[in-house]
Amino acid sequence: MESPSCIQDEPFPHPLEPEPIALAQPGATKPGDKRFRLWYVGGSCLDRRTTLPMLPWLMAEIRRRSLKPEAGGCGAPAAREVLLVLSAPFLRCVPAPGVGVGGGAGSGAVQPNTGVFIFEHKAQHISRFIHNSHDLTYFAYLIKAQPDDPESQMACHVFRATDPNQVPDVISSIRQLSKAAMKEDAKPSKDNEDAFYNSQKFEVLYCGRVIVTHKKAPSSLIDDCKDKFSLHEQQRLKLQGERGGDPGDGDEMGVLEAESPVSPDDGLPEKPDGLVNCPRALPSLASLPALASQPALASSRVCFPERILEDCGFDEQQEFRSRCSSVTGVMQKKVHENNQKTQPRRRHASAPSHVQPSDSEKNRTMLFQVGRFEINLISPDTKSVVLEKNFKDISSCSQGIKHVDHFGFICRESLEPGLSQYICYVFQCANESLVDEVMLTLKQAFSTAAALQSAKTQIKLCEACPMHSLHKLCERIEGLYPPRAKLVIQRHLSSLTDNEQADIFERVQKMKPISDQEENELVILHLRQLCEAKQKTHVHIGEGQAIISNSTIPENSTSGGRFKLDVLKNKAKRSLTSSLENIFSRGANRMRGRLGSVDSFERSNSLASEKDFSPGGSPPGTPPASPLSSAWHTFPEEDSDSPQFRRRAHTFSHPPSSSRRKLNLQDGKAHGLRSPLLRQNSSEQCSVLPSARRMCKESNSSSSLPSLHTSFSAPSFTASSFLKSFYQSSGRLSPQYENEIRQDTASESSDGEGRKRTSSTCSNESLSAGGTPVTPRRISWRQRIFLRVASPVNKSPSAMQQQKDGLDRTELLPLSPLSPTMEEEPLVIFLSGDEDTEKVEEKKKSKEIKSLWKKAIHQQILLLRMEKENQKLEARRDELQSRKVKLDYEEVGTCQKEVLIAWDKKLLNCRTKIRCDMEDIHTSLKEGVPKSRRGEIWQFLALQYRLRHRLPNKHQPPDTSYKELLKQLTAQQHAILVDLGRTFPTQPYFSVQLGAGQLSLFNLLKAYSLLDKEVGYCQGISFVAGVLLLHMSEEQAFEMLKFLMYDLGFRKQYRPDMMSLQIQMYQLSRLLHDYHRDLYNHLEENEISPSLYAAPWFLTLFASQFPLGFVARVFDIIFLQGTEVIFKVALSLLSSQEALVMECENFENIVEFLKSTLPDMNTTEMEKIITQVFEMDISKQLHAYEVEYHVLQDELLESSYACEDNESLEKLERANNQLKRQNMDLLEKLQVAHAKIQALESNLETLLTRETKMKALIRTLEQDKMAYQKTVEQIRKLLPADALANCELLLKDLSYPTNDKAKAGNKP
Amino acid sequence: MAKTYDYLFKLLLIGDSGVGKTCLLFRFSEDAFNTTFISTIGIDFKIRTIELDGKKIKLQIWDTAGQERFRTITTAYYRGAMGIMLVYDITNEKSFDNIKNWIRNIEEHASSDVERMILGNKCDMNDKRQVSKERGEKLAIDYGIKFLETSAKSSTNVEEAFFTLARDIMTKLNRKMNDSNSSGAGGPVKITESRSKKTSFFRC
Repeated sequence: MESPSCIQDEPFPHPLEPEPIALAQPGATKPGDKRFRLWYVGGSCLDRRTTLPMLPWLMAEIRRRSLKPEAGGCGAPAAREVLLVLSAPFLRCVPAPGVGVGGGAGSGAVQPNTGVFIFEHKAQHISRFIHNSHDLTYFAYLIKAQPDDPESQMACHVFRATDPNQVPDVISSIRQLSKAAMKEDAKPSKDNEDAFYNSQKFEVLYCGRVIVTHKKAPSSLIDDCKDKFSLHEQQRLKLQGERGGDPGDGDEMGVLEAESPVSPDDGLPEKPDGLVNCPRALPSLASLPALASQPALASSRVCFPERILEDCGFDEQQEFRSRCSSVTGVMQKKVHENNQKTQPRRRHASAPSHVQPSDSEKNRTMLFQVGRFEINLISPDTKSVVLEKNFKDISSCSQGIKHVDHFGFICRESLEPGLSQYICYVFQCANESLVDEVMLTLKQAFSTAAALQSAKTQIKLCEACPMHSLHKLCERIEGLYPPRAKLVIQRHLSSLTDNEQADIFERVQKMKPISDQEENELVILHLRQLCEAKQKTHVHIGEGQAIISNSTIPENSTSGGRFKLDVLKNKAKRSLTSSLENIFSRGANRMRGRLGSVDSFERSNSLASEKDFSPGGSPPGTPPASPLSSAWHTFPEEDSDSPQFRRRAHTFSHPPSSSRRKLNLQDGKAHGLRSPLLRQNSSEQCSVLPSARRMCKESNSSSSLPSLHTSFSAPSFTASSFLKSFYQSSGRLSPQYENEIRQDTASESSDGEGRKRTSSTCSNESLSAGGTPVTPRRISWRQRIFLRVASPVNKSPSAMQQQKDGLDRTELLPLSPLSPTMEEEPLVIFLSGDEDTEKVEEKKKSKEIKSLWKKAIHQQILLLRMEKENQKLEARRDELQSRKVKLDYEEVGTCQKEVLIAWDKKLLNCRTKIRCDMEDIHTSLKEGVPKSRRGEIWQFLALQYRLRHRLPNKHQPPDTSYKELLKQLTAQQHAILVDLGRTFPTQPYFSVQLGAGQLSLFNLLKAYSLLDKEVGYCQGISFVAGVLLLHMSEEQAFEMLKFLMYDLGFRKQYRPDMMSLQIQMYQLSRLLHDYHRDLYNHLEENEISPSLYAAPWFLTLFASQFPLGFVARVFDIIFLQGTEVIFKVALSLLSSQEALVMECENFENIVEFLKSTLPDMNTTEMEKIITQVFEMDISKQLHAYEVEYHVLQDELLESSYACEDNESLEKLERANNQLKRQNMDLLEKLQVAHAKIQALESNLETLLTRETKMKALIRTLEQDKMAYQKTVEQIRKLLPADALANCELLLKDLSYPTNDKAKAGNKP
Repeated sequence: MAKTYDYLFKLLLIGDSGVGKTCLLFRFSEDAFNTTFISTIGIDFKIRTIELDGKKIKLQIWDTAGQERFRTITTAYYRGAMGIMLVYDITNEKSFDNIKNWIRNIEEHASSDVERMILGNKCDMNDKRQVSKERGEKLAIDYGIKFLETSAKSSTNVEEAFFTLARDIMTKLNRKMNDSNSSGAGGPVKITESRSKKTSFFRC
């Protein structure tokens, strides 16, 4: 038999030299928290089939990665020092304070911040721990990367401790945390961080609710409800007109038509009370004499159909009135009972009253929050949850077809055990796209809830799985020497394909292993990656049964004999596990995966943790949800509703089903076999345990809730559930718990609804006085209130004694209103009935009965007075506590008492609206402002400012009241809701998600966005509004916000174009240039413009980056001097740190200093800056620089115009050149044409001249011809016959030349 | 002070308000998650130096305000960015639809050769998912850019995202230098720092 050596060489050197760091003691800083100073080596994502034998190799892999960081790795690049903070229910890994953060971030030390973490988990999701055998200082744990996803991978985080002895302490602490978290999961408490991070919120307008006949919704349901609401509103207005504005009848109509619940603030007339309380009066009617019970029972039976009917006309109303009159006699005798019965109805009002009241009556805007398993309706007015519905109770959701901006859902409400009805709630959003978003969110939430409740898929493994073969290999080489393990690994590699072998071999050789162990680790590393990749494409072999794995964390043996003993022990464990596994398999009738087997083995091992949450197990099956239609969604199906209903019937009086279901899921994860046994136990528990014991358990659970709420602004739904538990267990609380609950109630209730609950608490306390002996402390408390509201009846001692008897008698009566919710009450009522009968027999005299009635009335009046007084005291206490939380910041410069007195005098003058001396105010402000009266002083300063500077009418804000604005829906809701959690997230008043502070901030920002449509909501306004809310009420803060925005002109910088901010950046730059030239040059050289660091200063008035004490002082001066204060503070800040800024050498260091280091000034520096701001005056320069900016802008525009002119000039010149060329060509052509014309003209002239000459010749020739003819005639007369013959010859000679001339004349 | 890096890359984070830009940046630079962050007003930046292919690269990552009216301020820094990450929230479909608007904004104000990447943040909240991974991938393919789903809270894919973008910028830079060499411009030009030019009112 081989035996490993005792001493094994350390395979890797320590990443860092061991430092003499003192071990951090548990619970050092915070009670309940444990902190361990460790080194975080790294983490990795794993396949979910990873098994125990693989884990040592995985840890080695992660360690190797931390020693040689790789780019783009999944975990951290190098080991870093961290604090492991264990605060229920989270395990959180945060950077260690005082240690520089690696990775090239800031060189300074990172300050501890409770909100910063590297990662955090819920402790119960950690599945197992690994303790390294090679180096005892290393350990790791496995956790699901996404606990809600059954398909998610596992994650492994590796740590290294400074001392090996620290590791068991850390592991055991985490286990204890896990157990505590498991216990808390069973309680009906909300997880605030998850609620914030996972829930979506929408602002909706509550329209009303309608009782429907069944849970299936027709497509036109929303439109029908909307039409009904409109019709009802018209009728209400009509009736008011007819009956002279009698509100009682209007309310009655509202109750009848839509059957809405009664509002706590409404005083209903008697008849509607009778109607509303008919069902609740049913059990108590048994105590009435037989003579009177018949008509009452008859009327009660008739009332049920009345309520269920959707439509109720006037005729039926008349009929109802006649029925009511028939029971008037009975009602008169039970007037006091009715008065008491209205209490639970009001207390349990689940929604605002009045279907579609007019806008001038109530604020119907709500925040609609979609969580993981429920829908919450939160009223920003009352800061409370007014409606809470689990997804199981919601059967369908739908959107209006005609009214597309409306939506609604149908849910089940249980009025009495076993009897439920379906109610449709209708809401309106700002527009259709928001409704689409709501429907999408609801659909997603339903799918997720259904998926979580459905059966989880099992991890499938078969013989041929690659991960399985890797598991077997790791199992085989477990505990072997490196050389022998190497042989086994090589043999395993030979079974792979040649390509795979070559690939792994090459990669291993590339990393150059030093030793066999290192080579083995590298081979396993690459082999695991290969197996995980192959697993994704693997197809399982049928349904072969998985081989049961037997493994344990390798142990370091010291001797051969011990090793032999360990071998025998392992064999025994394997045998035992095998037999147990067979039993479990048969019992559960289900095959389990590899991890399940490992878990089974661990459970049999005494070292294993008690509870394990590996995904191998399976919870009890739940029918999967049906596919959801796009128009409207039905969940769950009717078929699946029946078994759930049966299950609920068995566990009716248990804690909320969701928490019980969670518990079942957790137990189911452990192993499947236990689930049916657990269910059987649960059923037996339901039937066997008496209700009193259940009440005690619930009261114990509820009484432990106060310790969980460290801040006063706990969510209202927690207070609601807490108070509900308290009511159910009334009369059975011990004085100790009662005291705690009373204090917690006082600290948690901060609104009207809380006061109502407090009133009910007083009633219940008076109940308990009858059931338990009165303790001195309680007498003292009630005595004080009693004395305060003492009545004259107390004077007589005999009357005092009679009153005590009367008080005892009166205290028995309030038992009746609680009868529907308590199973024991019928017995009590029966006993009470017997007692009443006896008393009636004993005292039949009318006088005695009359005196008893008088006493009862007096006691009731006294009780009401005491309740009112108590309400006032509670409200005052709540207010003081709220102010304490709001003003929880360190003040810059403490105030002297003399200054306080001076301010008191000034504030007295404020009421008379007298204009005060500015110098006096200036001096007083310099000396400081008391924190407690800062809000009043700001209002005083605003009033003084308005007296001196009257704002022009066109610049005045619209004159709409704050309450009116709150009734509307804003289009900016998403931007506002996103920023609620990012405004002063570390301030207690604003850090609670959807607490009173955040809801007030939402109201204020919404109102302003509706008032100022141009600005709307801009990031940065939330910080200004937050500072105002810390010092005054909502309405006062709204007035001051209006003052800052309109009178002081801050709204310009928030307009969508951001032009004013650009001007401000320029002005600041110029001021720096004038006042601090060197600093200005330094910033310019590094190309740092004010927009890099000063934009948050201006847009949040320094509130987002500087301490609140400093910000408050800045606000003091702003209310006095206006916007220029921002510039003065900025200049003072920069000048005070000029030397340090000059020392910063580059761009990054300067900006880092201005953004991070500058706000961390000490108090002395802050006071110095405030003093400088008072003495500075830069208003003229600011104005000059604004003008200069505009001039520069104009010059830039002109220069751009000039550039444009130049370009156009060039174009014109080019065009001109072309035109010139064309022109010259045309001119040439013209000249040619002109030349031709001239030539032609000259030709024409010559021709004309010739023509003239020719004509002249013709005339002369014709004249000559006539002359010759005359001569010829004369000659003929004078000459003889012989002479005639000679003349003819001459004529022939003459006629020949004449023809030639005629021809020549014809030619031209 | 002597330079301790070989290259300076300027990256920009843009996206709707509340999608987790600042948380992504904080996770990458400090390797931690902060539940008490305030809304980013204006612009902010953080520095981290990484090693890529043997070269030290200083990443100067700018974080912007997501509200629309701040674009007039934040677009002044688009010009100098070498890589831009467009972030949306997988639990908010509207932020995914607005990625197209952000891309149009980039094409208008940023350099034409800027490297881009789409990130779908908050992937640890799978139960609240409204945008499937396939839709994100399809959008990225349509624009020819890379896509990753991240979670600043659970530290999923954050390092991969920034390293991928830096590697792409480095690849493009090397390609440019090779082109410069092949064109006969002389020896290789080492770009040690690239600064955005600032418009100054005093220099026209």
